[in-house]
Amino acid sequence: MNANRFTVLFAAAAISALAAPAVFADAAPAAGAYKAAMNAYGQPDLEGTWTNATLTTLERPKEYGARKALTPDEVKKIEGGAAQLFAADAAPRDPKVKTTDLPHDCGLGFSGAGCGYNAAWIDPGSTVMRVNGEPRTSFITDPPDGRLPPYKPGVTVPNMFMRAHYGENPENQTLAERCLTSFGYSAGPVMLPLLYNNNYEIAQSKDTVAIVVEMVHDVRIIHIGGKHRTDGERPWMGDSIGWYEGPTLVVETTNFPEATALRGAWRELTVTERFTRVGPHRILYQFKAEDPSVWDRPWSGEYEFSPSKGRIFEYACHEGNYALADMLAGARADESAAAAKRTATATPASPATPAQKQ
Amino acid sequence: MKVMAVMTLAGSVAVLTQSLAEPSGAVHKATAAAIDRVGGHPNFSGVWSVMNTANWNVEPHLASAALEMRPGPVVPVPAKAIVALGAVGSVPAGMGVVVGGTIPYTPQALAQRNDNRAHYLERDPEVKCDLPGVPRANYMSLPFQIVQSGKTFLISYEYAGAVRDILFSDPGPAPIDSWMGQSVGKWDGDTLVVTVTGMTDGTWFDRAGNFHSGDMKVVERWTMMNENTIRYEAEITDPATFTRPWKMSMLIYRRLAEDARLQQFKCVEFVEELMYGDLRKEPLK
Repeated sequence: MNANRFTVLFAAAAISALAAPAVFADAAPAAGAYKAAMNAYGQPDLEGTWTNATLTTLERPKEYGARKALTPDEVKKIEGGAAQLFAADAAPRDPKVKTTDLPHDCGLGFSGAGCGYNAAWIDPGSTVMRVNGEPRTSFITDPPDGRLPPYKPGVTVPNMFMRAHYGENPENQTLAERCLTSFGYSAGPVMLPLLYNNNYEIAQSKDTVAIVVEMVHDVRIIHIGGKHRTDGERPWMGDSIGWYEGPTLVVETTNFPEATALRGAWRELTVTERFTRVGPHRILYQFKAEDPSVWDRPWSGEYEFSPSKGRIFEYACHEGNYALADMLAGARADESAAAAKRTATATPASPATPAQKQ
Repeated sequence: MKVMAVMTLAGSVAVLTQSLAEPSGAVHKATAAAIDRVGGHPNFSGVWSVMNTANWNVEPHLASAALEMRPGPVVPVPAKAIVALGAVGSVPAGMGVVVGGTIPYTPQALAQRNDNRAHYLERDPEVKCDLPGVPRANYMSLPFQIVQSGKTFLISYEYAGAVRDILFSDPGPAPIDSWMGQSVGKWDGDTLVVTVTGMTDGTWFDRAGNFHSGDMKVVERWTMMNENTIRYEAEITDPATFTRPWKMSMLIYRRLAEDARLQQFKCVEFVEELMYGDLRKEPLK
């Protein structure tokens, strides 16, 4: 294990999956130069299987300041680091190496045995995100520093990976561990890439756009020309309606549930997404999130989808979820062991009574 | 008691004589003028559901007290875990959707089916919110939505968020088994013919213990009878379980009301108490 390769990769805070083939990234034409094909309904054709895997992240590492584009040297360093990681993980290992020999911290919160989540299992992107051919430091373009606006006082942002009373009940585990959603914000909206399975299929009918999300086989159903529900109910992934503006599909989502808050926002959150085919192999994805109860101002950004290398396979999470039972059973075993230890400590061996001696 | 016996017998005869015959060719002829088309094919886009009880039992059946019974002092009574549901836990009758009425099990498979039925609560994958497989996904009580364009045919099911993408280019054998299988479609005139393979043996046909092996092949035929009705047929081939291929046939109806929107039935969280309740820090009494 070479810890440096993690340092290089994770210095860029890379969390992503399937590589966007460089041939597509470099060939992206200027927005507006490409005339999107129309489907049988006369709508801009967005169908296909797409990925947003990338080494670029939602928020910009502070070292880049207000700079939106990466320099060629920075691109080389980030993409070279990822390539180094994949090559090292693909190399044969000494079967005698134990988990205790692994790096204490291998990035992304993984350590020790968790380092087994290496490149053989994750499906990280190998390229930075290019928008209109420009390599980007972040998805967020506004605010200009590429980072979320400051939170209003009193707003709390739940930890997606650790919850109160963790291990006590199934409901205390994360949504991902319960196979209810992805472990990030794959389905969104905003749809954001993860460690793996960053694949989406878009299907269009006259009045519906369906986006199949590989993670947990979620399907976003977008009602074209529909109206938001007003009954106060908040379905998973919110309540999405859409319309076409020339070559662009616009999707507006409200009524988010608290369970899948976007960086702490849900109650008054509105996310607007714009999907525009900007090349035969590129969809420009632009987004804006606003929640006046959480942030003083909206934030927005963009990235491009590229074609997935294959079709989406079934992510049957729940059906094989032995981990949830094992985690809960493990917590119970820990409690039993701790209780036994306390009992042993609190009750030192007492001298035998006279009766016992007889 | 004799009167009851006669009545029951009469009911059984009525069910058997009315069980499905092979649908006539005439009803398969779609009225092309009334059906919307996309990409040169009938447009199945919309929200659909059956109006039958096939998910309870694909074979003809009378109403009964519960899906799982246990011996009682006089007659069998509902299994203990179902008693509290009262009439809600009972089974509605149905004419069945199996062409000819009865599934042609091998003797060994029939014994397995009956054993499944006796242990319904612990074995039906629907109880645990597992993905339903094909054909069962199509005749559960919950609707599904078809999103069809000139080149895509996607089926999104409300139950458990199951989804199928019909492939129109055969990629060859499925590289790995899955719950919903691999669906390869082709058009036979105005009928969409979908061959489904690569399914696990973990799914059932219904709540009555009817099952299959992991080698099952399903050939579906989707035909629009008119703009609001689909004739759905599924031919099941599975020599490990059945003595011959057999068919299901049923109608599927378009949801037309103002509420014809696919909802979410993410039942995974609904079964957590069932599946993990005993592992709580403080299990409920």
